[in-house]
Amino acid sequence: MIVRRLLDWQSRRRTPRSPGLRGGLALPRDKPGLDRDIVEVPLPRVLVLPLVGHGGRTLAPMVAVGDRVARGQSLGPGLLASAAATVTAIEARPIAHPAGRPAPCVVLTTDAIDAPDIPLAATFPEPLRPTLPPLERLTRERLTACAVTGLGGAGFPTPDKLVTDTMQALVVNGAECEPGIACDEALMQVAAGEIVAGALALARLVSASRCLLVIEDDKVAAKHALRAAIATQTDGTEGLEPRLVTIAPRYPSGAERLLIRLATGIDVPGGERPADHGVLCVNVATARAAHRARLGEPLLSRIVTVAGGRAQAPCNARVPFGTSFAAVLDATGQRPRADDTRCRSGGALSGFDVAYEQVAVTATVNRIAVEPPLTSAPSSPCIRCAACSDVCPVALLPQALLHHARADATTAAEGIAIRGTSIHRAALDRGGLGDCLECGCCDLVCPSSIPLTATFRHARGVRRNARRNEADAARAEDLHRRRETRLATRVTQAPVARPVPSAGSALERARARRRRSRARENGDR
Amino acid sequence: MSALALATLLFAGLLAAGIGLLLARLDRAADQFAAGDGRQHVVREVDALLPQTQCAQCGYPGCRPYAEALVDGAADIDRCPPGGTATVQALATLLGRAEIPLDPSRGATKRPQVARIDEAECIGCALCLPACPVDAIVGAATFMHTVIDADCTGCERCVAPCPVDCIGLEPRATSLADWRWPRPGTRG
Repeated sequence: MIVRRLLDWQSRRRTPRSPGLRGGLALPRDKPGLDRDIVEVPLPRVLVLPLVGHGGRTLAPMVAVGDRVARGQSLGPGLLASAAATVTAIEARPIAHPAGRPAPCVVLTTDAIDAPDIPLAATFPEPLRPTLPPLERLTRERLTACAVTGLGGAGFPTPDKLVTDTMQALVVNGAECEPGIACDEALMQVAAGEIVAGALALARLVSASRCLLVIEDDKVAAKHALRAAIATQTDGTEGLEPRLVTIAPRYPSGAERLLIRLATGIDVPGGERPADHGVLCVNVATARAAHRARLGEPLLSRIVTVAGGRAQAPCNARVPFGTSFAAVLDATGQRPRADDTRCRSGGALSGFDVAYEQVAVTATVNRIAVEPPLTSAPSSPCIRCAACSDVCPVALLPQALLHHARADATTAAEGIAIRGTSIHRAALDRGGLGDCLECGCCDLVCPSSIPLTATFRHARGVRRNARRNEADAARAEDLHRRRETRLATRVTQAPVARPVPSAGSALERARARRRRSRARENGDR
Repeated sequence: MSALALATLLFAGLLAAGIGLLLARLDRAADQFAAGDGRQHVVREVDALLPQTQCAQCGYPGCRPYAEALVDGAADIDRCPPGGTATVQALATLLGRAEIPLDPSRGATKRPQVARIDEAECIGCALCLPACPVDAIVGAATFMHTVIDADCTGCERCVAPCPVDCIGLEPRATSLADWRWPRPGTRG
C-alpha cells in the first residue's frame, strides 16, 4: 500500500529526475549578485565591435568610416550596431579572446541620446527602421536578421544550428554549473516567461516533439519561476508541452553534450553536432533572445556577471555589446582597483585572462572578473593516482593522454611529421582527445598540479593544424592529378615546350615596375 | 614390398616437385611486387610526406615524380624547400637515410603564400593558366584573370610566364581562426 502510494506520488511528480553524471565534481555553490537587481550599464560613448565571427574568422565590414548607423543596422555579417552611432574607425583593437591579440574592430561613437525614434529621423537622410515588425511565427531568417547568437559562452550563431527542419528535441540549457557565473540564473529569475516563450518558438521552428528546460536542482528561485512560467504559458503551445527537467548540481553537467545525454539520453560523440542526432540545444539567454527576435528586437546586449576576488560589489549587469570591460566595472562600482588586479573573461575554469580592460563585451563574455594575481603551484611529476580518470565526465584517461600529448607536442615542436602519422597522435585519437570537454575537472583534483587541460587544448590545436595541412595537401594533390590526367588524354594539343624564365628574375622585374609606377604617382602629386 | 616403396618414393618426389613449383611461383610474385606494386606503395608513402605544392623547385615536374626519384635513389632528400627541415627529417626517417640540410640552390623555405593577380594590370593573355599545376587560376583570353585563394599552393609557377608581371606572391592571410592554444608554460 505504502509502496503503491509512493509510486503514485513518484509518477505525479512534475519534474522528472534524470540519471546523474558520471564523474564531475560537486563544487561549492558560488552565484554572485543574485541578491541584487540586474544593473543596467548605460550606453557608453564608444563601442568597439570585433569583426570576428564564430571560430575566429575575420568578417568583412559592411560600413565605412564616417557612416552613420541606426540601432540594429548590420556592420558586418551577423554583427549589428548596438546603438545609433557614427563609425569613427575600423582598426585593430584588443578583443576578449584567449589569443590576447588585436583583431579588426568597428569603433562606433554613439549619439548622445539613444532614442532611435525622434533624433534619427532628423539626422538620417531616410528613416532607417530600428527594429523589425513582430512575427507570429519565428523564422530562421528572423534569427539571422536579429543576429541571435549562442549566449552560453561559445557564441555559435543560432541559425547555423538549425540544419534540419525536423528535430526530436529542443534542450534549453539552464544548468549554469560553473561556480562564479550567475548571469543565466539571474535571467531565469526575472524573465522566465520570455525564456519559455522563446523555447516554444524555437521548438516549433524545428518541429521538435519535445521541449525540455533543464535546470540544476539548487537554483530554487529560478526553478520556481520557470515552473510558474510553464504553468501559465497557454497560447501558442500547439500541443507542445514544455517540460522542466531538474538535474543534480554537479560540474560540468551544463556542457552541451553532457546535458543532452542527461536530459534526453541521446549520446552525441565528440566532434559531432547535436543537430546530427536530432537535438537543438540552446542556452536560456539564447531562448529569450529568440523570443525577442520574434517580437522584432535584435540581440544587442547580454547579461554579464561582474565578480571575482577583488570585486567590491559583485552583481549581474545588462551590458550593450561593444562596451569595454573598464566601463562595465566603472558602472557597477568596482573601482578603484589596485594595480595588481588581474582581469578575467569567463569563469575561473572555462575563462581566460585578458591583458587590457579596454576589451569589449561580446556575446561570448558571460563573466567579467577582477581577481588577485595568480599564484600557481609548480607542477610535479605524475604519481599515477588516477584521480583524473575518476573525475573525468567523459570517461577519458587523462594521465595516458598527457603522456601522448607531451610526446606529440615535442615531435610537433621539433617539426617531425608535418604530414603522415605518429604513434602518439594515433594514441591520442584512440584515447578520445576529441571528446575532451576542456572542463578542467582533472586540473582541480591533480595532486601534482599538472596543467592537464592546457596540455590537451594545445594538443588539440596541434591535431587540428595537422589535419588542416593534410586536407590542404590532399586537395592540391587531387587537383594536380586531375590536371595531369586531363593533359594526358588530350594528345592532340600537346603543350609546346618553351623555355621558361625563372620566377626570381620575373619577380625582380615586377618589383622594379612597381617601384617605377609608384615613383611616377608620387611625382604626379 | 618393393612396389609400395616405389609408390612412396614416387609420391614423395611428386610432393617435392609440387612444393618446389609453388615456391618458385611465390618467388616470382615477390619479385613482381618488389618491382611494381611494392614500389608504388613506397612511392605513395613518400609522396604523402611531401607538401603537394607542386612547385617543381626540386627539379621534377611535381611532388609525385620527386617521390619516385627518391624511391629509385635518383635524388637526394634535400630538394624540397616548401616542406622545410620537417620534410627532410620525415623523409630521412622513412627512407633510412642520413639527415642533411636543405640544398639552398633549390630556394628558401617561405611562410605559406598565395598568388595575387594585379587585376588592373592583367591583359587577359591566358599564359598563366597552363602554368598553374592545380588549376587555381580562373580566366579566359582577353578577360581578367583571378586566383582561387583556397586552391592556390603558392608555388610561384605562374609568375614567370606573365608578360606584364602582374602576378605577385603574398603571405597567406591569417585570422584568429588559425590561432591555437599555446603549450602550457609558454606564451603564444
